[in-house]
Amino acid sequence: MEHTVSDPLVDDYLRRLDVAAAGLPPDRREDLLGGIREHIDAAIASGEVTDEASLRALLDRIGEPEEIVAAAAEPGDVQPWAPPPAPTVYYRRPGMGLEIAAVLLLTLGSLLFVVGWLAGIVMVWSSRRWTLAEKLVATLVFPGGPGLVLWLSAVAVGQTMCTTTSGDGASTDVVETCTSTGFSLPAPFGALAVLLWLVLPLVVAGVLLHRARRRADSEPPVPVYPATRSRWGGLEIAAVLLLGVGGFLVPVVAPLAGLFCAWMSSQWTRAEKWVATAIASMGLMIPVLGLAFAALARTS
Amino acid sequence: MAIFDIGIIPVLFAFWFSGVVAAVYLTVRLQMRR
Repeated sequence: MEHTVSDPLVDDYLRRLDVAAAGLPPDRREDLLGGIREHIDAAIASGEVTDEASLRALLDRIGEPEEIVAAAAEPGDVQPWAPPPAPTVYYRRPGMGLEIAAVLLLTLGSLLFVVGWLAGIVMVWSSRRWTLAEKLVATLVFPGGPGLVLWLSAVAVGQTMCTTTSGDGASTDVVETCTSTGFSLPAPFGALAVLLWLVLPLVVAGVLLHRARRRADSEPPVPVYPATRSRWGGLEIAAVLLLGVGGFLVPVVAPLAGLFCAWMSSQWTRAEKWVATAIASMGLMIPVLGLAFAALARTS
Repeated sequence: MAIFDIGIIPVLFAFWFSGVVAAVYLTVRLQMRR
C-alpha cells in the first residue's frame, strides 16, 4: 500500500530512509521501504496520528532511518551511511628531477658548447636543495664544464711552428725562428690543468647530487592522490629525453645516460628495460655487423 | 677496412635513431599503464 498522506515530515523521513538503504540489495530495499510506508499509513489511517506532534512521535518510535537500515543489513551489505572510504593516498619521496637534470647538464651537457652548461647553472641556482656556497662551487669549478676544455683543446690549441734558416756565406750560424699561435702552457701544467678541468667538475657534480639526495630524503614524503598520480617522474622524463633527443646532441653518451636513468626508474618492468636496452643497442650492432661482413668478404 | 668506409655520421645517426625508438617504446609502455 502506497502512503497516501503527503506530509513534508513523512516525505522527508522516507527520503532519508531511501538514501540510507541505497546499499541494500534491491529486493530487501523495496521490502524495507514498503514495510515502513505501510506502517506509517496504517498509523495515520487508524487515527493515531492527528497532528504534527503525534506524527513526530510515530516517526521517533519507528526509529532513525540509518538505524533501521543498520538493523536490516546483513554481513556483506554495503553500509551506505558510513562515510565513503577515503581515497588511498600514496607517498613518494620528493623528486630530484631538477637536481639530476642540472648535474647532467653541467657535466654531459657541457659538451653542447656553453649552452648546456649555462642551462645547468640556471637549474643549479633555481634549486633550493643546495646552499649558496655549493652553488658558487658549481659555478666556479669550472666555467664551461668539462665539455669546454674538450672544445678548446680541439679548436684553439696553441701551436708552435719553427723554421730554420742557414746563415749567409760569411757565417755558418743556423737561425731558428719559432712562432706560436694561441695560448699554451708548459706541457706538464697544461696537462694537469686539462685533467683538473675534466675531472673536478665531475667530482663536484657527484658531491652536489649526493647532498641534494640527502636533503630530499629528509623532506616529508609527497602525497600522491590516485587521480593525480602520474608515472612520469624526473627519472622517466630524463630517460626518454636523453634517449630520444640527447642522442642527437651528444651521440652515444646521452643514450647511455638515458638507459641508465631507465634502469634506475621503478616505473618500468625489468622486461621493458631489457627491451629498451636491446632497441637502443641496435645502433651499436651496425659497426659490429659491418666488421662481420668485412671478415666474411675477406674469407670468401 | 670496410667498416671505416661507412663513415662515422651514419653510425652515429643509426645509434641516435635506435635511441629514439627505445624512447618511444618506453613512453608507450608507461602511457598504456596509466
